[in-house]
Amino acid sequence: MHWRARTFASGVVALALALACAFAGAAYADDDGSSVAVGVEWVGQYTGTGSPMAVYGNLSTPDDCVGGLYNIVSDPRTNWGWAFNWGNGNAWELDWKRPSLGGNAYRLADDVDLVAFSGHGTGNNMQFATCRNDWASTINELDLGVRDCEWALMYTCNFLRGTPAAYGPAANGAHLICGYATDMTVTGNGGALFRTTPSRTCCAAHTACGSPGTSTAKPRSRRPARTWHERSARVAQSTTTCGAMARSAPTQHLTAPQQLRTTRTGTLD
Amino acid sequence: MKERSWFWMGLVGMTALALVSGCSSRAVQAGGAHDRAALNAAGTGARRLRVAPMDMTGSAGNFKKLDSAADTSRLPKELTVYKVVPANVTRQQFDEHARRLGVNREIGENGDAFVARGEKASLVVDKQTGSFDFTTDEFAAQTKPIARVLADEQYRASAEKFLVDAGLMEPEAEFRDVNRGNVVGVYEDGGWVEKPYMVEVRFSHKPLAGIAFDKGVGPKIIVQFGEDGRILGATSVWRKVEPLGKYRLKTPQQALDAVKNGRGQIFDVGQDAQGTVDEITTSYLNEPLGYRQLYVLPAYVMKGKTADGKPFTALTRAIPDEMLQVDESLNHGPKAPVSTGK
Repeated sequence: MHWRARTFASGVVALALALACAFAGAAYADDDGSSVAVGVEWVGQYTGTGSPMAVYGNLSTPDDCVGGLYNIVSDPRTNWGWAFNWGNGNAWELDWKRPSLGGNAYRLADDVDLVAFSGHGTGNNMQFATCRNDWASTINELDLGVRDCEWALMYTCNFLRGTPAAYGPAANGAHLICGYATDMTVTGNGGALFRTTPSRTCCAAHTACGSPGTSTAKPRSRRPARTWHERSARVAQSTTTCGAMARSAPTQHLTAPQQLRTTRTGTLD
Repeated sequence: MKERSWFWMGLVGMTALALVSGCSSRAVQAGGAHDRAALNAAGTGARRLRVAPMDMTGSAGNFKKLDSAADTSRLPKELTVYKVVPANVTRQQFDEHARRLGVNREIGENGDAFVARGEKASLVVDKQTGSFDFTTDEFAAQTKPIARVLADEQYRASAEKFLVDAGLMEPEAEFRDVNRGNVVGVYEDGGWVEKPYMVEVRFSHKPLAGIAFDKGVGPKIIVQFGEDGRILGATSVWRKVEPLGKYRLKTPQQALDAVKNGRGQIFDVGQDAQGTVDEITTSYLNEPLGYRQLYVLPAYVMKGKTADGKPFTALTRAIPDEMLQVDESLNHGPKAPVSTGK
């Protein structure tokens, strides 16, 4: 009787484990050991916050713009997590700043695989509506990829303005930082289109989104990526710049060191 | 008895009234009646055009002072508003496109789009607008500069043939240009070198009654080429339109005031800028995919220079505000979960 009880208990445990495995889904992690996740921050409400941007008005679409990336998470064919979605007063400069400068990027912007921001930007920066610890995060305070970040999407103006020397150091292992060298219109469909036309954005994200269980660091995914912003946003009289960047030292993510892809789509304006 | 007959007459009368008003209400809500009412609004302002809020630029650029030196004497006082005709792509139509492109191995639907996958390419078609996105696997692999770049005429002929053969060419499309601006930049011998890794042939929409239709996310069809003129993909943002009726426009001064007051898209302007508009034209605006654009409206396009000599562009809708019913639901999608407790 005793052995029967033990066998039964073992059977229950085995069955539970089997069921757990069967229904756990294809949870997977990339090579850094973490689960694959999206994190977004946005600011639309500037007026009345004390932000230097307050006098210049609000934006009505940043939440929709980056919120559209939730499509990646809600798609049953994928297995991405929704790590954070901080908006307005909860989006902080500290969240993006590298730890060596006292920032919290290690547990926010650089702790997800795909991170995005939408809001005002006046030139190589993101503008926030609360001062924690600054009103703006500048590109030279970022070193995305040290911990986890693979791709960053910056739906803000002028973020990649200047030369690779100006914005390149922000990618310290990230495959791609995608943004504008000029003014851009913040449209509500930016993130949603990033998902629905993944192959138009970056192939590594496409691999990860469309093929659950695929490591994002497999060779196919290592290619520097391109973007296709002309569809999701408009650029007036200028060019769109997008790049997959490496610092001066080659990183493991790029097929060729010090390579940067620039997409200049021109405009139809 | 007499009281009873009055009762029945009253009941019948009220029922008839209710039926008539119900039908009338439904008719007003129907598209055709709404359009007729909108058309009447050109004169009376009784019915307004339902539009999404105008998206803003992210740079927070604004004018502290804005003057105009533009000649506005030739600007129209009224222009036609166009109604967007939904493409309502059928499964049968999509199947035919997929068959022609050889991407009919797996065909299905994903929300507002039909999707198909073939051996080496995929096709997505937006049901509402008919806009498409054809992508070969080679597109993703195209990372190096093109070794053999063809002549513009060769790219154009190839693109036109591809679109016609696939049934994707639009009658209202016209050739725009060959774009070689998609470049790969690499440090070579200590120097920064940029070379095209993809060449595009771009088509835009023919003008609408002589007015350009190319602002916002201008209507476009693009075919992309890789090595040796091979087609890597093709994509479009397109809406079919038909005339709705003539609408009077804001005056150029009203448009200038709107831009000055931040009610417009302002490009390449810093904070509290001073500027002078040198040129004002009109153009039609096409909205991004995913937006429920019901009408194509004219806009004023202003070009000028800031006080420090830098060129800028500003756009504002040309239809008077009182003719518009701004509806945020047209460009706002479902909300993503927001984090709390920071």
